[in-house]
Amino acid sequence: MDKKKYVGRSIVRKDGEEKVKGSSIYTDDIILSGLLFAGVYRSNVESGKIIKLGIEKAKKVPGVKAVLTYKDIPGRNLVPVVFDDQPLLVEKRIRYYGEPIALIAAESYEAIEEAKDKIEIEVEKEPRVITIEESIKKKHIVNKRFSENIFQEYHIKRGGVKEAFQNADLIIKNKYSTNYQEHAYLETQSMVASHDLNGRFSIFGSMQCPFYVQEGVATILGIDLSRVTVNLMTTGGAFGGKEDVPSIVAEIAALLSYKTKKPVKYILSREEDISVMSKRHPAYIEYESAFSKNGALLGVKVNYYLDAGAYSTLTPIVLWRGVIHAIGPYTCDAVEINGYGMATNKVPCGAYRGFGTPQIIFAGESQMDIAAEKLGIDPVKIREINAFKKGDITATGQKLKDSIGIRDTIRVGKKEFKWSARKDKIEKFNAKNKYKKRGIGAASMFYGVGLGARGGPLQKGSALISISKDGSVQFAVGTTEMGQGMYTVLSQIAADYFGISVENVSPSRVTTEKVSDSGPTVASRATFISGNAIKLAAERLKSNLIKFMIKKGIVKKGSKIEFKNEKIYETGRFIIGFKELSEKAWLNRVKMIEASWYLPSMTTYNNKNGQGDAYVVYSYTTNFVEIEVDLVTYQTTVISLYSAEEFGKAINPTLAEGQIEGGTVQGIGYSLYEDMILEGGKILSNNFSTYLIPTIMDIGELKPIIVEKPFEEGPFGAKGMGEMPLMAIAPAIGNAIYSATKKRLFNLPLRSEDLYNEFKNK
Amino acid sequence: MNNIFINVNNLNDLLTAKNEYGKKAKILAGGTDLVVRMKNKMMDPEVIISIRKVDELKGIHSKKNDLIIGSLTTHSEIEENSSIKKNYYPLFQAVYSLGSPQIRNLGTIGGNIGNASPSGDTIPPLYIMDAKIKLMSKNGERIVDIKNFFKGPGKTILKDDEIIHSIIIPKGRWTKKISGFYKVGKRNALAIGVVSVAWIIKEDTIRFSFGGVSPTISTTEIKKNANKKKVEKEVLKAISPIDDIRGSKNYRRDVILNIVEKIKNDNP
Ligand SMILES: Cc1cc2nc3c(=O)[nH]c(=O)nc-3n(C[C@H](O)[C@H](O)[C@H](O)COP(=O)(O)OP(=O)(O)OC[C@H]3O[C@@H](n4cnc5c(N)ncnc54)[C@H](O)[C@@H]3O)c2cc1C
Repeated sequence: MDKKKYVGRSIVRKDGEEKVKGSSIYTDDIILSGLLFAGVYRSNVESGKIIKLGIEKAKKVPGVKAVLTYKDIPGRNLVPVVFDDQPLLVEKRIRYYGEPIALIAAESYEAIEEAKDKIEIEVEKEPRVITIEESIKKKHIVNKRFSENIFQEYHIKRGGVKEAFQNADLIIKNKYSTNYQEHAYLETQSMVASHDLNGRFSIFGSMQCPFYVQEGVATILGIDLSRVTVNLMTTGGAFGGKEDVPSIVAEIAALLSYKTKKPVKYILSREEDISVMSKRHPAYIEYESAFSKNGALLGVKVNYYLDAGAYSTLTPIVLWRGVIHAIGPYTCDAVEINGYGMATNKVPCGAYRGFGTPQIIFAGESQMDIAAEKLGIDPVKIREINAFKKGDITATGQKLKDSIGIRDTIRVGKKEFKWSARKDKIEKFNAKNKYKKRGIGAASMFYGVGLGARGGPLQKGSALISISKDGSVQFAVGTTEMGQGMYTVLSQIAADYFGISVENVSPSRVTTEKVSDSGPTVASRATFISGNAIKLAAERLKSNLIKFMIKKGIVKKGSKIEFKNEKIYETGRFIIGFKELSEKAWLNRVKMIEASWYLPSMTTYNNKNGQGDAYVVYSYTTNFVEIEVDLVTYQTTVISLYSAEEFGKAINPTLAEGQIEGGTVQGIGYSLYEDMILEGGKILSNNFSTYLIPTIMDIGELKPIIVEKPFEEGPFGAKGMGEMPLMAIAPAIGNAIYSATKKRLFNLPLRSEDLYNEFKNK
Repeated sequence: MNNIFINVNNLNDLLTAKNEYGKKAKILAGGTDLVVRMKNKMMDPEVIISIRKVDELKGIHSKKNDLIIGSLTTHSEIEENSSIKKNYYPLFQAVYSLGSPQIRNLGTIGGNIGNASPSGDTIPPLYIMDAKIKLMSKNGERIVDIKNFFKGPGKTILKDDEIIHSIIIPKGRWTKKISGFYKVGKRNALAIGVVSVAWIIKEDTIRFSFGGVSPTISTTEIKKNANKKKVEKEVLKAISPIDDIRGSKNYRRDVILNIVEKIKNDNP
């Protein structure tokens, strides 16, 4: 490998030092003169009508500068997402516990608390829908606009399902359910809004999607999009939890700022954040699979229900991804998948790493294991039997052409994990130990990279790159850095396109002012989309420089020009240093700034029949896990977890491994620890002493394994990978629990109490 | 509310302050319970007396017949004490698994007792080791058996002017071989116990104390050769578990029974 190249090398992250030293600037670090704090007065019923609302006493609390209701909104009372059904502030009808009713700006948090106590409200309670079952039965209609309590439904049908089940040797039918998952980002939601010159608004905050926030603020204030600038601050984790809801946070800060003419900071406490911000949808799944006796998956029927909460927000998109991936990375010629996003009187659910897919993978990959046992086939073998190969067809009829790594992840992972040898070792361990039983399990998955067909107009990306006269390069993109390492990875990509040192490449703060709407930073798309946008802009700049060199007679027209080792070469011969060239170009008024516009290949998916190419390309993962169950307490502990992941090319292997480790830990949390407890629609586990995420003591040995299968359209062959690590952990652990105890759990999280009940009811 | 914060520098000032403010005042040791409660608005004392500089309440002292642990001794200090690790093994295990390093550096044994939670980790070991608690006030001192100290969850016999001075453990050799502490938390760190069990073998009997399964710690003694039925009967007599956010009554009961059985099996 060329030593001077950066792609493929684990360089230290650009923002590593400042983060380790604690000098990164977060939203809460912003101090502006006259800054006010924001607080929100929220509903304390799940469903009801506001009869009377009195804010006058609250306004008189010393230090309080504004108390606002929906009547004070100059624009539209709306949080724009997909269907536009969610108001920022309740007008009359309350639809979930904790829904915002009034906003307060004050000089101190104490004054906010006092003002909240002084708000007078009379609410007439109405029937409420808490479970998916109640929603399906239409116990109450959550929002009249969705008369069946269904926000969105999808149906995919392909092949002769009836025949497949008739001809099957084995049919497995089960019901699965999954609970919420809370993002637990270290930094809670935070925004600062302030007036700028000429009626402009500046927003500074923690987020994934500055362009969503821009639209939210412009909508609520009723002003032009061009008058709102959104600036990304250092963002302390997001995981999907800062995709759509930061618009709410920013709208609140902006509205209060608009009314008070002062800068306003709104930062949620952990308790408020867990109670009212988005989460992973709880799900209910009916999954029926048909197999031949040699283990081939012949047919699948799935009914997939998501508990969306009171507003549709991102449910249409979350559900779609789940439906598309419902079968897993397997060929299956007969499928019927029905997906429903159900309304309930609870906090709206949204995006979370994996986006509606971890739930359905839990069901599908448990089914695979059940089949393997019934057919007497090794669990890894049955996955090998069915896994995609080149030319195979997905559930939506998409023919897979390129970069299909599923079989590689199974093969490599199995070998590293020592699947067979481990099995023998565990048998010996279990024979010796009365109270501890070990087991192993595997699970595979595939992941459509980027937004896919349902992303519509958002499938695009822009980059702005400039070269300074000292030869340093600055780039701006529309996707965000939220801790995942995008600044570093894109800097590596840019450095290699210019053949310069990564030290001389500088990412500029993400802001809506530099580039045009590039879609959201979700769906593992930043490297792919912004990486390609950088490539295009870099090519333009290089072409400007080459033209200049030709004009000046430095190189000949038509000869092979290379940018590498901080130098320019003509057919292998050194010509000039990059710095020197930059200075020359500057002196000669060469255009040293270029913006690009990248559009990924088009998808052909048709929502009417659920057929067509859903995503441009897929990434693949197989997890292998060993667990130990304590038969005294029925608790499960992870001993080791190997994840073999194929995502084209690892631009920075250490950062990719970091993503794998972090996602795996979240997956372990989702599987074993994280259990949201509610009373009706009120969330009780609203801090980290009741909502338990795994600690360093709970995760066992983690081993990320990177498998590379470059994808032609990706920057340097990269696809996308940020979400995969979390997604197929739960079924692997569930399968391992079965292998240890012969007890199967069908509900997530895999609770010790549920396992205890299985033992009791044997 | 605007709390009055008083920083006392020695035992005498502490006793004087507590005498003066009595019921209105709460003592702040490590604050890992008190501050959490204040934040959650479960408590809002008029006066807070910080005792963190009261050296007389710190440290572990070996006397002729007793081991004395000052109430302001942190869990980390207990964890690092070699004599406790060797001869008071259940207490070592309890502090070793308590909270996290940060909590152990701040939290004190006096605070753990003063908090009187049914799942306070140091309490079951202190029960089976027959610990006593020395209480002090401006007007004198008294020594009570730990079994008589707790009245219910969060309730103790402490009088308004009294403080916990120290914990007195009769000298013993409760080594790793013959004693232990078993905590069932929902994860391996920073988890309040769902149930906990401390145990000591004395000749042909095993003494048990149970946390998290009754309003205060409960205890029982079981003969090593008792049969399963007998064991079950004795244990169920001692405990009265309830359903809560951390676990059901039945789960708690059966896990306690499993632990007892395992300890019996491991120590034939
Ligand atoms: C994240 C976290 C994890 C935790 N994990 C555990 C755990 O695993 N196991 C466990 O048992 N506990 C746990 N705790 C609770 C707590 O840390 C312990 O109970 C600790 O021992 C309390 O000691 P402290 O010095 O901080 O008490 P403080 O908060 O200072 O005081 C607690 C109570 O005791 C009173 N008090 C303190 N000292 C005296 C005294 N000398 N005389 C009279 N009254 C006094 C106080 O007035 C107060 O009412 C945890 C707490 C947190 C925040």
